[in-house]
Amino acid sequence: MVNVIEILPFFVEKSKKHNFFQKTKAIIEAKIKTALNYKSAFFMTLFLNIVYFFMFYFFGENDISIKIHGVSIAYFQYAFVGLSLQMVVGTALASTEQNILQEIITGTWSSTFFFFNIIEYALGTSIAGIFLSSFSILVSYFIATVFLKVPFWFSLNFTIYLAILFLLIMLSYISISIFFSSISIWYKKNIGLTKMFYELTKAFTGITFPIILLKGYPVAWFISRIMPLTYGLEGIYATLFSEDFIRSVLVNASILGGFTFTIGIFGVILVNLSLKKIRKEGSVSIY
Amino acid sequence: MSIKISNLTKTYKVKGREITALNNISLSIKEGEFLGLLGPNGAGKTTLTKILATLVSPDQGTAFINNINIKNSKKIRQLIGPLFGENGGRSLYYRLSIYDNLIFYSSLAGVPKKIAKKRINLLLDYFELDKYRDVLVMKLSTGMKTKVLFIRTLIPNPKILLLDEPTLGFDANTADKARNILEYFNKKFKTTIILTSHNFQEVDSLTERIVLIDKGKIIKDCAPESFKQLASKNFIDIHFSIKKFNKEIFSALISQVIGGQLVEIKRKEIAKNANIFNARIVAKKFPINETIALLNNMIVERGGKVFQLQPYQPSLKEAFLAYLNSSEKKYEENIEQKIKIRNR
Repeated sequence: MVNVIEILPFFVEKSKKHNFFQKTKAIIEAKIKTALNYKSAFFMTLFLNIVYFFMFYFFGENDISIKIHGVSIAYFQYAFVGLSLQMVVGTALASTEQNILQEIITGTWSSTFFFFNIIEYALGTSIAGIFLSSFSILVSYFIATVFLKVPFWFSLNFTIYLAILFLLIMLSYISISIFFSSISIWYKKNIGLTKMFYELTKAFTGITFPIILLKGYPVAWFISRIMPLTYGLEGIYATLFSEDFIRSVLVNASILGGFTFTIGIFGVILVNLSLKKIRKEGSVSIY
Repeated sequence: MSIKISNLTKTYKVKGREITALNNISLSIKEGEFLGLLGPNGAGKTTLTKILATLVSPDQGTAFINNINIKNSKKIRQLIGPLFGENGGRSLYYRLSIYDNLIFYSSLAGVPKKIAKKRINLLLDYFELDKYRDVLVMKLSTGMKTKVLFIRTLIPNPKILLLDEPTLGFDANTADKARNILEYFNKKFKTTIILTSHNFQEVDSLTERIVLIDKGKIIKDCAPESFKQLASKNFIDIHFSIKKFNKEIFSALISQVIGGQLVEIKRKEIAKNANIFNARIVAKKFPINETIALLNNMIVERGGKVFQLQPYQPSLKEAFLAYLNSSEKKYEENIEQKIKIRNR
């Protein structure tokens, strides 16, 4: 066993300044390791995603002549894009806010508060979450490709457009999560906003049906137009299924960028106000 | 690094009532000073520590660490290492191992990975946790979690350590080791340490200065020795025998006849039925010489014998309790309650 005299020489070197990338990387690693410690949940999600793929393959590819209510069975290919994104979007939406709530409940919040600013924390937790949910989807897709020969639906030429749209969708939902975090920090409890927004996203953004069907319903149409995923999916569908897609990608990417910037700035300001409030109340480490 | 606190005031609202945690506190702490912060529960010690750790903002007043205003929380957090041992390790990630927790927090504190690994391994070895390094924190005992928190605070070797009950729940051996390493950090690296503890022996042996806080105000600021010497002017040690002894009546007599306070009384195990007692009394109403005379008379008049009667130097704990006019029993109950809350 070592004694104090042996230990001290190793403490002479000074620590570096807190670094944005180092901290973001640390939280990504910690969150991924934590998630992997919930092995059963991880494998269950993976299993369900594989089931999804098999289901879509058998419904979508076995007999393309089948029609349901006049819609071709190829509709499932369209829906699959939305459903895959829905899972990742759900993670981006929940990551920051739900992680903060979790930290408050478990007691790690005061340490989090001590070391991070909201942008570092939001990026770290969201990247970890998105990586894990995307990983699960990609593994499922890989298995389906090998065993069922599910075709790749998009050319590699489109990858860059899809990547930009994917990134902007994620950033827009992270900014919403930051905005909701301010409310969770202020009240120190889960008031269900994330859940509500997620359900609205699933219903009104064109994940399972083209939103053009909502045109006759003004309220539903309005809701669909304030959801960032609507614009993201419009851009992705255009890229995948339409020949004249560049204009659509540009328009939708601009809308997503504007949305992310506005909500993000607003969210960061509100989070800082909430943090100021809890410091004033002295309730940082009270849970 | 020095700390300068000027006129800090903090008030909390609890169920509509305003509670003053700190009331216009000013304090200067020199670089490399080892300061003990003492006070009863609710005195404001933790609030002061949390304000310095930038986790709580003051209503009024300012504090500077190395001439940096604590409002500049980003810079301040790079200089300090706070440890709130009372939370029993709740600020660790339960689903991560000891090692992963320590690596994570070291990265956040800016310690390069290679150095962090070396320091972690050494400290895990020193605190006999090396066998458990890959065990999830959720599976550790409360004492082990507190050790991990202690290690986590030391790894970045901060210039200032803010320690709130750091050894609460440690066994004697671990507490000794913790004290030893703190002493070395203080001497070797000139680390400024503010130690809040109810372990008076610890505060007495480690610190060179104590600040006594009560009801949000500093009521004493001196060296532990001078605090004890100050209190010794009032403390009396007596060995006596008496035939019919009743503790309650004796305590009441001390209070009514000589205007003092009974601090402690023990029956001496010299011979069976000998009824010889050793009592410690604080003189309150009259000067110590008068109180000694009155005490002697009181016992002799009641058919007792006095074998030894003299002033004595109390321990830091006795001096503290006498200063606050608090009973030891009440104090011990407070500590037990704290440990229970922590272990919950």
